[in-house]
Amino acid sequence: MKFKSYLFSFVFASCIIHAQQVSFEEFDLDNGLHVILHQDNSAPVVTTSVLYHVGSKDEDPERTGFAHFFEHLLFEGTENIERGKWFSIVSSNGGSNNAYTTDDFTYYYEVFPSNNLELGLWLESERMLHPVINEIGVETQNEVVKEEKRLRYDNSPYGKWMESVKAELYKEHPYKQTAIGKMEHLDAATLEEFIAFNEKFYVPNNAVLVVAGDIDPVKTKKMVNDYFGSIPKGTAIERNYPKEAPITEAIKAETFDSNIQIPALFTAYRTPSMVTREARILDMISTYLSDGNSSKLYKKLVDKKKMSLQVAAFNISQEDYGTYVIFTLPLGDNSLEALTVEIDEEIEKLQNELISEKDYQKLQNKFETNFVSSNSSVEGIANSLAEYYTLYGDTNLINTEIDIYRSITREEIQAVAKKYLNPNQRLVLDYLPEVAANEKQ
Amino acid sequence: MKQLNYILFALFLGFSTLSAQIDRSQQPQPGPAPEIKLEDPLQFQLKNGLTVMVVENRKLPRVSATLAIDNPLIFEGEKAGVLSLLGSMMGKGSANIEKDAFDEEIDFLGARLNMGPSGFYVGSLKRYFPRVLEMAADAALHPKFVAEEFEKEKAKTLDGIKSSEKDVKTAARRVENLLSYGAQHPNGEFITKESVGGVGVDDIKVMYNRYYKPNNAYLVVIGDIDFKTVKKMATKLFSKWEAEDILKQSYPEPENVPATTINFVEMPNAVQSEIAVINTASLDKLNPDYFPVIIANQILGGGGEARLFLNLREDKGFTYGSYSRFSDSHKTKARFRASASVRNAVTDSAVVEILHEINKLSDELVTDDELALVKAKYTGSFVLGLEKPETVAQNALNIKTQKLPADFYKTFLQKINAVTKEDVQRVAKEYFLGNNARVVVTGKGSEVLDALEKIDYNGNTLKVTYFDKFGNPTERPKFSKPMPEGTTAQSVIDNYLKAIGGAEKLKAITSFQSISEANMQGMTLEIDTKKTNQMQMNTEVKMMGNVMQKQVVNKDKGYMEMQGQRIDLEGEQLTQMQSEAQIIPELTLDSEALALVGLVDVDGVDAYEVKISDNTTNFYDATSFLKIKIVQTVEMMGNSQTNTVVVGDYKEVDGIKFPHKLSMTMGPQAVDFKTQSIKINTVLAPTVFD
Repeated sequence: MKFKSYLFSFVFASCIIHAQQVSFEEFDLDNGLHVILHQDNSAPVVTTSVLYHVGSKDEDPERTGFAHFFEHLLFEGTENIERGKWFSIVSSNGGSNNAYTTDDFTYYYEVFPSNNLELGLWLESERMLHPVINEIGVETQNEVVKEEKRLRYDNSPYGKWMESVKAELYKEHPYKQTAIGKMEHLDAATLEEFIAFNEKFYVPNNAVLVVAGDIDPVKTKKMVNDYFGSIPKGTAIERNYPKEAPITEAIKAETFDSNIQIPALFTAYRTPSMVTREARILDMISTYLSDGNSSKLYKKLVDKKKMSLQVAAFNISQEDYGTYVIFTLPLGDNSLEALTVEIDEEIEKLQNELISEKDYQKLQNKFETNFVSSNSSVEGIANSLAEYYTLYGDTNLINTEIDIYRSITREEIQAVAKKYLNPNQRLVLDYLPEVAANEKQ
Repeated sequence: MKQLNYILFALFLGFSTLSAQIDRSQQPQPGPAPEIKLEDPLQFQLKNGLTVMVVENRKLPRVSATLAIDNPLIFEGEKAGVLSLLGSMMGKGSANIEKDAFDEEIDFLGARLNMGPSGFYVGSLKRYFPRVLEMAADAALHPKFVAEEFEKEKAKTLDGIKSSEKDVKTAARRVENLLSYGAQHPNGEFITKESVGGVGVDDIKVMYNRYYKPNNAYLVVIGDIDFKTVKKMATKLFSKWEAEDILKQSYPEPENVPATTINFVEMPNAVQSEIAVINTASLDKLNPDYFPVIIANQILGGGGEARLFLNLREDKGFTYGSYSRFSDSHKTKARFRASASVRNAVTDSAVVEILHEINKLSDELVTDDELALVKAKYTGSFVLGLEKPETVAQNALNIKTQKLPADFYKTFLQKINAVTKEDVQRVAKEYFLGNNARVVVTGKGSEVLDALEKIDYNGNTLKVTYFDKFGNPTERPKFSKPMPEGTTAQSVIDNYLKAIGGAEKLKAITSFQSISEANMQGMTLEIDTKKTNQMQMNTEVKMMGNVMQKQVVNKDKGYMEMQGQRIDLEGEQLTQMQSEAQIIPELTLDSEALALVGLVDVDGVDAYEVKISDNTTNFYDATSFLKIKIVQTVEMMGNSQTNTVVVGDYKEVDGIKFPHKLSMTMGPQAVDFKTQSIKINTVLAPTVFD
């Protein structure tokens, strides 16, 4: 394998101008906080971000939604930042900020003009050291989160597909939960439980701090140490989540949604963790199937046969497993069954024959373009550095991941399609309009 | 002592891992402000009017190009959808290259190409850019409108409309736009099944030929490329594109309402209400009020630190977010819109809070802190924008298209910083019209409307008008009350049959005979009805013993006799009469056509409303399950008329309950019938039905 990969890089070296290398340095503080610095002085902008390695998979199954709830709660204030002042401190200093939660981690960040680097570090260190978690904050954010759920899921066409897919593919592993969680869990949670969750997960030894942009690394290191060095270390976190038994028989399920008129088909497979080579091969298969007007499924279903309004294949890569999803909306009277047959035919082709040389080259070109574009903003680079470190254990993948994609062969694509994309290993979810009693004609 | 300090200081520097000597109770102050350098893109113009701008940025080996045709707004009218269909027809190959080959090559080069009705975006690695731009230009200037492709895009558009039919947000935005600008305005019109249905491929060609011109067009190239190369490429690719005058349409400008009104849009599936408070105003970037207006808007609803967010989300927890926006426009009236998606139960309170925050801008001066914060935010976003070459390009494009002074962005922060609290209050009164606003609420009426109608706004209730999801005015919608779990149309019918005697007994009825009487203008009207279970019926209307009217149905035949004249029944009328010939119609209903409308109020009684056919709806008492009302829509000489029969006074005849009172309303007339006698299972002479 190694020889092959060498060969490939050699072939490509002749025609590829490398995207600018992303330089960075990384180190640990005594309390276990991992720090990554990336210097880019081309614009007077700096990003400060903290990735906490806690997501919805780390929640008590009776208390789902906690990680996402903290994404809200940790803006409520700290011992030195009055409740409700966080956003105005950021804005009044010309910055912007946000946060998001996944099944695996939570990411908080600020972007400031570079003269406010210290402010960004102060904010994040305050959040890590002593956030205020009290009744009033919990009550308010409880309502806000419920509104978010209504907005994003309950009132949103096709908003429930992810929940349904997870519930069917995962029976043991916490990926069966959703990030937004169950509202009754949040209602039932006590203040003590929130405080305990904070003490367990939002600690320096479970976090990575990234400072990227217009910085002076020496001064920045000192500031990082000043603001984060004294934060006490937390107890080491053990993660030992139940494994899923392989799926050997097709799962058939239905979900009803009152916000839709056109049914949708979701075919979903459980696939290996994001760190594996196979996960990246599945990324390539997604691109092959549905990225661009000449991709196989788009060309066939949307363009030629006119059976489908939309089709997409994508690999949701996560730390413990991946979820490979093919989604389509039928056009006119075409049935979901007929679409399944058509999609299967393309997958069978992938399993039975090698993709063409030309299609293979096309994939390589697409991945190279994506690679170049993925490092276009300092904010994006900061995010990638944090994820590569935490989830893959190799920060330098920001520069080298493209080499893995380059080394993937046509034979490997065929083998992975054969290994993971079989009808007996999947969920077929019919996502159907819910007809209310008073609307039946 | 001094020396000791010095030593400590040195120690501190040397051992930076020693614990921090910072006072974290104090918020750090910013360092010296970074220098803001605003670049100007290099530009030139082709003879046909196309302006080309180039922003060099060598950070990554990639290049993008955007073609923007800045035409006046286009009103599409009856064929709304032509522009959007033109957009989806662009980029399907060109006169010079087949669609499949075109798609294949764009993908092979790893390029992104999006084409629309008024331009395109294309981006790729630097080394493929010359070919990619060449392809985009070819597709833009030499499109091929193939009828078959067109029909496919049209079918997709229609399905797209269908797919969002129940989407609350789609309906909300549609009606908000319609009410803000009016149906005759480009910003107010929208695409429907009907309007798209009328579009043909020729309409696409006409639209393209009329509006896809270089006169108002801009090509913006950003990335790892130099000006000279772009100039050469653009000249070669776009010089032959011919200019032509573009007509500016006229359309009515929107007007605000004299007093704040709630416009309610009924969406029974909504779990949140979409609230928008809207007014229009004249505001472009050349207007000196532009700067105070955008500052006022930032303070009101510009983000997580603004008043709407702090009040509706952080204080009250009504919503995930509440924001406002003042969209300036140099082409038509600008629009102010404050909005939130809130849970049903707090809809009225949220409306009150949003209006309150809007009016507060006019009633009180904003605070120094708020003003300072917003000014700092603009300064910051200016700096943050420097990272993006797109900002440089967008600013230059705005200067050109909106005819702004060349130094508009160079003096932008200066003008922002000159705005005073008094300026903000002055423009608030003129541009943020809390007392002349359209409040558009899209949601589930049964849960929100009662409260909305009772809002106390400065001592008055607000006028409420009602709309369907396409913005057509309607009556106040009627709502079902909550029903017991498991209630279906069939369960209501089954309960009814049980209540009047049970299906078994009912099915055993072979014949039915009744005599009813009514008083009409002092005269007695008698109706004799005979029916059998063989779909036979004879109804005679008598006045003082004389037969005035007779209706006979015998299986597949039927006639009507009026004053000696006989008319054979056929088609719709025959079907109608056949259904009336049923003794107990509920025994033979088409279960496919049955639909439970809901639990409603019928003259003070809770009743299930069940649609039993296209033109008939019955109401069943929710407690006794007896049928209490029948509503029928009938065609009478080309007009549709609604007939209502209220039934009651049930009495048992041989163990089966029959109503003995019928009040009929036929159009403007109302007649009360009392049943004198009912007999069942008597033998009727077959000749009765001849």
